[in-house]
Amino acid sequence: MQSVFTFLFAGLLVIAALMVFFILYKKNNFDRLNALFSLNTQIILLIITVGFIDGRIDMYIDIAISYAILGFVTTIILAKYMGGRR
Amino acid sequence: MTISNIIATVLMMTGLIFMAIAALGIFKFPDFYTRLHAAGVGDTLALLLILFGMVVVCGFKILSLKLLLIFGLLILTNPVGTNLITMVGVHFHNYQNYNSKARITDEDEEEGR
Repeated sequence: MQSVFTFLFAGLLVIAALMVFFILYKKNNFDRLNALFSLNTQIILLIITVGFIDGRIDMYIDIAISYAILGFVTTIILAKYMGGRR
Repeated sequence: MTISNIIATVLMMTGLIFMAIAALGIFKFPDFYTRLHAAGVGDTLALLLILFGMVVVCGFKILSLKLLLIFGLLILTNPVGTNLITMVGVHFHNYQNYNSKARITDEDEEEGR
């Protein structure tokens, strides 16, 4: 089962690196925001996968929960800030 | 490998394939709104599959409940965030003359509250 989680970690890391590349080299701001929201999901899955590989999943799962809430709040506030007053 | 590990492996690899397809859609689709569609739909399904695979690995523990808590949280917030980004983009670009169609005056807004 360790090798499966390692493969999953590698695949998610490649996709997250592609998202960072997209954020850095795209000009449209809302596209960047969309890619950031997608990157948020992949980072949560990466944290849980690191917990499974490391064997201390009880600690990493709480970090993943708090990261999920903080990422959602960040996306909402950035979207409100970019869109202006509606 | 036991039978539960095989089921979990199939679920997680399918989720990884869906995540890769969503990333490809974010890169290659021609328009901003089609890219939003790819991100919202593909990411949510990939998340569902990968987290269910992890729940199958864990079995009946308190850990599975926490994984399902993350699953419920993300499946609530992921479409809401995508909808919010879509509405901000529509208002900013005035997509298909949206701002003049659905004009809400200040009086209506105050009465609604």
